[in-house]
Amino acid sequence: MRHQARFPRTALTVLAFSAVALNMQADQGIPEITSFEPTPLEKKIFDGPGVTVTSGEEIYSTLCAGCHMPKGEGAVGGGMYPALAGNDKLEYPDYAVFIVLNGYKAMPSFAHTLSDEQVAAVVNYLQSGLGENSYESAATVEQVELSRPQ
Amino acid sequence: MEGATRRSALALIGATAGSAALYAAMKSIRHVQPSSYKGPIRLDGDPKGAKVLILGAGLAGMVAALELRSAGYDVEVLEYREKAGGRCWTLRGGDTYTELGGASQKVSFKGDNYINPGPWRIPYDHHGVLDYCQRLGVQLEPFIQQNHNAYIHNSKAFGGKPQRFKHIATDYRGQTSELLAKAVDQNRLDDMLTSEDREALIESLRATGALDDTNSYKAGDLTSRYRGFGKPPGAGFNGAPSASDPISLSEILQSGMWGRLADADLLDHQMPMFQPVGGMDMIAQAFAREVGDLIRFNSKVVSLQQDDDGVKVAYEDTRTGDTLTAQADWCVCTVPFSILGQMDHNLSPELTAAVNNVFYRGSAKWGLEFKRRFWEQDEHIYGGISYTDLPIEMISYPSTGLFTKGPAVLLGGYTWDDAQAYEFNAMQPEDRIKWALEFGSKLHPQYLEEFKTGVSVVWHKVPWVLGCFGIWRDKEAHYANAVKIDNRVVCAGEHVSYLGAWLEGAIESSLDAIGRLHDKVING
Repeated sequence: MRHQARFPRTALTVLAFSAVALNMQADQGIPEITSFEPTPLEKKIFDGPGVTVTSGEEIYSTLCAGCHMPKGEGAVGGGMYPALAGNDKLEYPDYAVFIVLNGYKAMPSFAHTLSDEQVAAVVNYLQSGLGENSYESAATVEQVELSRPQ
Repeated sequence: MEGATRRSALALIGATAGSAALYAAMKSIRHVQPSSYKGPIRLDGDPKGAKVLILGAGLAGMVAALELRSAGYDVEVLEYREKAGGRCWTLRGGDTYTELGGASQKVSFKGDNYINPGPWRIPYDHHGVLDYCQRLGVQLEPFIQQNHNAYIHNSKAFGGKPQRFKHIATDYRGQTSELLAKAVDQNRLDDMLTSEDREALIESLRATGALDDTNSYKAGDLTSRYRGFGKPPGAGFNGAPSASDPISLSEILQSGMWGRLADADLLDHQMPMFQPVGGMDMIAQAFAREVGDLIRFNSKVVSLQQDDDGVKVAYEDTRTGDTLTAQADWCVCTVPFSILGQMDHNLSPELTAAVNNVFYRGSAKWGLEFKRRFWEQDEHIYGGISYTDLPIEMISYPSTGLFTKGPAVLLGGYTWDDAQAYEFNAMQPEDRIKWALEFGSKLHPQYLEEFKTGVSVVWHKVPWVLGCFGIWRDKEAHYANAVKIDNRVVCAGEHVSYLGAWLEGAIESSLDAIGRLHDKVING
């Protein structure tokens, strides 16, 4: 494990976007720089230290989707990331709240990365907003607060 | 000055004989403290043809394969990937890398240009790695960790203008030395110092902080000799230098730029560091030359079962889809715990709990190729690292091929911050490149004009490890159970060491594991 001294990261309040962007030319894999106009979501991602997005869908798509994939379909390689779409462990919020706060096996804990509000928002999105999941969103901020590892 | 003489001798040896000789010389002058690595392992005694199945052909697995075969074992290695090395990995032009989710990146770097997505530098006291490099003929060269002419950048300080490391470092040291020297001189620290030490301390602060006779750090020839001149010394009628103006202590303190000043003073970042000539996987290739004949590639282990007689493993041939089995008397399991934890196994409850106690950290790295070495040609930065508060965290310039013309690859970012590692992990490759260019151009505006091509690796999406390296939630409670031989199985790898994430951890863990395994085989 490494111990690095770091900048105290105060907010990256204004990102001045210069004219960077790429058009990937799929056949050559060589990108051509044209212009970079960040989408509204892209503007939010790095707008400050830590996780700056707040809605469940935004949190899912900018964090969770990296492993569990954009539609919650999961992924398989040498190991696997479980699918969250259609996952019946999401019927009640307790399990997901526990996993997000504590991690599970190789999955890290998000207790220090997400606020109570963010955990509740993303679990609610997992329950009702992700793909075929149509459970009732039932996670509350109070529940997350009480579930935090001591 | 014995120290100066010794340094000069080492510089001379390094210049004439290369880094391996330099390292040997350093050891002989006892400049380097001995590490836990004791030199080549000795496995005496006849294992009577006992068979060992090794899971994983990263460095831990290949060290075990090499040493156990030479000790007389029957060795078989199963590896998920199509090649050896694991995280000891290099991407070059012509390579294609497909991450979880299916996005493929075809690397189009020119010539021998490369990027090491995993380990990229070797500390001088990682004796195990360095020794194997020498034994296996891996040529090493210096890795430039610290560069006084590289930048420290804070998007919110100095109008976002990057500052040279030497300015921040020298001015910080000088002005903190000035404060201390003046406090001592005004007798404010008398209760902590003898009068002899007071005088010596002030003298030392003048010497190390570039202070004048009044204990002041101020613009002049003396400070310019450390931080650089306003107009550098030259020749001819206009050759006289002019002094530069220090940056005020308050500005430095408020900028937060002191946060990276000691990075290269960390034990595992101290100069000299080393890298294999041509890419980190030269180490993997060297091992594969020795033990490649023992490795079955494209073999995904799906089940690990043991009883008192031996181990039985089921694995899938990823090209044919066939499920096959392998049996052995013993097993050295170097599979990352992220993968082992998902496997069907009957390891003991204690080892299972240890496996499940480790989570895997994320990290993102970029290799960006530019048409020319503008950092050298325009900014006189030859190797080393610039640090930034932007999400890419750092830019590292190549330590090799200095002064050459043509395209070159730099490390366009290396993230440690959890949130940012996750955010880059969730992006597609083209978006990651876009952001690396956006942020990097704040340090080097030439980025936009000079960019050619790039590749990025986000470690949570690496199919065969699902993370960068293992971190224990409760090491004290579980570590010993991971180290211990579990009936017929012993685990090894960086995750089973106190050198997590380093090649040295994988190597020392493997040597320790096979040493104990061999003892059990021979002595029961």
